Parts: sequence; C-alpha cells; structure tokens
Amino acid sequence: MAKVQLRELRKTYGDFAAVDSIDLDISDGEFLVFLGPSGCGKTTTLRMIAGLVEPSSGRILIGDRDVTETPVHQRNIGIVFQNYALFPHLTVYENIAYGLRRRRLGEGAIRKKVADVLSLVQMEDLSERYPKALSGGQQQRVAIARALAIEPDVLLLDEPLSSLDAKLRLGVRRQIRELQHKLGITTILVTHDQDEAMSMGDRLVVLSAGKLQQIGEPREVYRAPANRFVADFIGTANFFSGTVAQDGRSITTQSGLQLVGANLAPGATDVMVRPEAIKLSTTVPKGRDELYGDVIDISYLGPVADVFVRLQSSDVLTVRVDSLWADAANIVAHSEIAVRIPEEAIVVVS
Amino acid sequence: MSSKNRNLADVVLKAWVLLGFVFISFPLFLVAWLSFFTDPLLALPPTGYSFQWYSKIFVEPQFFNGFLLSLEVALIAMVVGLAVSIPAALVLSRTEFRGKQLLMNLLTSPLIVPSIVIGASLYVSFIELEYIFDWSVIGSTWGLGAAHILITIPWCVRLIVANLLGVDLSIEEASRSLGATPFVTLCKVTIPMIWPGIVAAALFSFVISFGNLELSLFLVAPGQITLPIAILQYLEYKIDPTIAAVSVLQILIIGGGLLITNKFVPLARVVK
Repeated sequence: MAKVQLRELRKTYGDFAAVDSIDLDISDGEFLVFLGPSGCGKTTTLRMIAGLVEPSSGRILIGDRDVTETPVHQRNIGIVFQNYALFPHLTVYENIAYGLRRRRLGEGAIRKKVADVLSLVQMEDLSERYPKALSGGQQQRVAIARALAIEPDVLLLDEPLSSLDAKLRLGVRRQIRELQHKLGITTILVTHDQDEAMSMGDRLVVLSAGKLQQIGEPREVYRAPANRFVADFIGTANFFSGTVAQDGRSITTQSGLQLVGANLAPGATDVMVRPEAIKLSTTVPKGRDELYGDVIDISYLGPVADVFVRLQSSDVLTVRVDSLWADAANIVAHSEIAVRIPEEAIVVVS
Repeated sequence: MSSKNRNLADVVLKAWVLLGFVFISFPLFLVAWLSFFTDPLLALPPTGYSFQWYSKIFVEPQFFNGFLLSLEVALIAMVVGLAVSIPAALVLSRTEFRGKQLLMNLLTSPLIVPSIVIGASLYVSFIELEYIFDWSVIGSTWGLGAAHILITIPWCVRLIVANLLGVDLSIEEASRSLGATPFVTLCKVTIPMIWPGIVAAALFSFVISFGNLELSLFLVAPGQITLPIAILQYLEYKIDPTIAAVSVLQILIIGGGLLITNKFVPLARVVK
C-alpha cells in the first residue's frame, strides 16, 4: 500500500503523444478512476504505472521509490486485466499461488494465503477448477484474488467490468468498492463508462487526447466541469454559446435566447445546464418570466424520463424529469410546455 | 432451400467425403493385403497367405539397420529442429524488427525449394567442407541429421509461430506482474500454453525426416543407408512382398506414434 506519483509522464509514438505530460498525486489508500474515451491515453498511463509500457519521459514513484526503470516483475503491483488473463493451464488454486511461488513462500504459507483471498472473493469451493470451467464473473473474482494474493502496493484494474453483463456489473462494482475499502489498498481503475467511474472512484481523472482534463471528486467533476469536453463526456449537458452582459447576470446566446445566471464574468462564454436542473411546467400561464417550447419527444428510462423540448429560439433542450411527474403531468409529444432554468444551474464551461 | 434439397446435398457431400477417404486409404489397404501373399511375384488372386515376408525383414540386415539409422536421424532432426525453431518462433512472434518478414521467409524457404535440389547443393557443400577441414561429413549420421534439420525447421517455425500468436499477451503480462522474470514466464506460462503446438511440430519433424528419400540419397554412404533408401535399393533388384511388409511396419510405427501423441495432445485441435 502506497501513494503513487506521476511526474511529467509522457509516451509518444513517433509524432503522436499518447500520453502528454501528466502530473498526478494519488494518495495512499485512494480509489482513483481514469476516465476518458478510447484513445485518450488512460490505458497507456495505467500500463506505464504497471511497467508494461516504457515512458518516453517523466518519472513514476510508488511509495517513495522511483520505479521508472524498474521492470514489471520487481514492482509489486497487482493487475486485473480486461479479459482476466488467467493461466488456462493452471487451476484456480495454482493461478492464485503463482505470484506467491515466485516469492518463494513455503507451501503452508501459500495454502493459507490462497484460502484467505479465495474467501475474500467468495470462491472457496472452486479452487480445483480450471478457468475455462468458470463463468465470466467467477473468472473475474479469481483474477482479483490472484492480484491481491501478492499483497501489492497498488492494484490496477483495466476495464475489469466491461466483459460482464449489465446486471452483474452493478453488483461487482459494489463488491470491488467494498473490498477496496476493507483492504485500504491504493487502487487505479481505468474505464470509459462514466457511471462506473462516478459510482466507484474517490476521485476521477478525466483524460482526453493524452492530456489531463480534470481531477476531482465525482460530484465536483459533474457539477463544475473544468471545460466543455468534461461537461460533455460526463453525463449529458445542454450547451449555449453567448455573451454575458456587464451586470454579470444576463446572457444572450447566439440563438437569441435570454438566460439569467449568477456571478458570471462579462464577455463571450460557453455555458452548460444539466438536464435534471431544468424545471418543466404545464400549468404556468404565458407572459410570466419563463421560456416556452414544444415537446418534440420523450424518452422513458424507468425512474426518470428525458424530455426533448424545442424552444422558440429553436434551441433543443434535454430535460430530465421524474417519470412519476411526467406520468402525472401527461407530457406527450407536440404539447406546449413552460421551461425554467434556475440561475444557479448555469455553469460556465469555457 | 427445401429439406429435400438439403438432404440431397447432404448425401452428395457425404459420398464425396467417402470417395476421398477411399482414394487416400486404398493404396494402404492394398499394400497391407499384398504383404501377406505367399507368391514372390505379384499375382492376383494370390495362391495363399503367409507371414514369411515379415520374418524376412529381420533376416535382411539392410532393413533393420536402415530403420535404426532413420530413427536416429529423425530424432536428431526433431530435437535440434525444435531447439532452433522455438527461439526463432519466439523472436518472430514477440518482437518487431526490420527484416522480420525476410527472416520468416528464409526459415520457411526449405519448403519451397525441392528436396532434391537441396540434397544436391548440400552434397556439393559437404564435399567442400570435407576438402577444406578434412572432416568426414558425407555418410555420417550428423551430416544426414544436419540436412534433415533443414527440412524440419519450416514446419516447426510455422506451427509454433501460429501457436504463439494465438496466446493472449496479457497472460504473459499477468505472469510478469505477479513477479515472474521473462525467463520464468517463458517456462511456466508460454511454453505450457503452446505445448500442443510443440508436440505437433515434433511429430511433423519426425515423420518428415523419417520418410525423406530425396535429401538422404545424396548424403548416405554405402552400408549407411536410411530405411527409405533401403526400400528403394531392394526394389531395384526384387519386387516381392518384403517391401509391402516393410511399408506396413513403417505405417504401424508412425500410426502408433500418432495415436500415442493424440492421447496427450488432441492433434485435431493443433493442425486445424
């Protein structure tokens, strides 16, 4: 268990910078998530920390040890691969014992450790099975047990949930999270799934085109995105480009819409409004200080529904409402609706 | 397609496959049948059946000695061929370098050049070696073995490279992350995972070397001949069922080897 520090870490392939000068401090026991679209450099960064990819420049420190030049097998890092990468020719027991045998532990100590980690992932009964006789979820638990058995300083998870079916994924997210809390092991997870990232990470690191876009707690990244990319990538957002007047409150968008925010810097700017922050009403009479529009479509998601509203300015808003409310208010396509955007919902993203 | 048409297609396909099997196995059965004829000259129908030609094999020393030499050469070709091919296949499948395709082509080129041409060129080269270094190469088991290694390498390299490319690289990475050095990873993970390919390569090498005639023809010395050459030489003077009996034994030995190997490594999975 240790903190991890990245110092101006870079990886280039020819002229292409896969990872472009990343500085990062991961504290001891933290659960950090690297999040970004494919090709953003998240996996390359993870593989550099693991020692599987050699950095072009920069340093990697684990604990207080500079491991930049240390080969993989001397780094004491646990990795769970996307496809689990279990040894097909070894039983579950031998898969988990593999790292312990490399550390020359006695047979008794190995037996005890394997039993410990197997009970940690609730797989005690299947230790004599071969990987191909296990389900995807079971294989994944073995992969986690194998990585934990060596008591690594850092646990690296490379999209560990992407091969599981949706229902199973939710349960496994919670299990991994609980396990990480219990063991207090510094953990880095790579994913392109924002729900996964938000629900699991203590902090998120959003990457794009090899560059760090934002580091922060899930709530912070969601509510106060550092830039338009982050706002767009995490969750959904309604964007407006416009100009803030001298009063720091009123915004005139390029489409001619008048919005009111709070404490904005005057001048040209991009703002964002989250769909759930917008209020809809079928009962507000015309002439009040509201926007009006037509419902184009409604997409029913179960607990919530997304309502697509075309404003008179021809901007199309996505509004997320409680589906019970949508049922009660009888929101249907082609009906007129009043829209209110609270001033605190307007967030500058440029 | 209607079910009637599908049934017809099914029957035609099965008949075609059956025809293929008959075409392949007919000569084998014919040889096996001939080997039990009593008559020294082939005649149909045979006047009687006997085991006399099988007992004759053990009286004619050239067959037994030829068998021993072939066995020795095939084992050398197999072992050394693998020892060369496994590292070569690892380099070809796990690293990137300029001229990689060239190296691959070079290693598989003995497949393209006719054996008889290789035999003739080796003969000339070996004579040069004998002349320069005063070694005795032609007629030696090692000279013959070296030549056979040449024809086993393409098979070994191809089979093992194909197997290595099928191995998920993250499994090797997992091994290293768990504390295994690259060498330990090779021994404990990579080799066990491609073991079926290695066994298949060994088997192919053995069979190809054991049955080779064209290369050996140039490189044997009087009294030091392989089984296929012994058969050829015998045929120059006599056509009696002894040859058929020798062939049957050879088929049984190689077939037995295949069956035993199949017990440990399902060959159908490797050679697909």
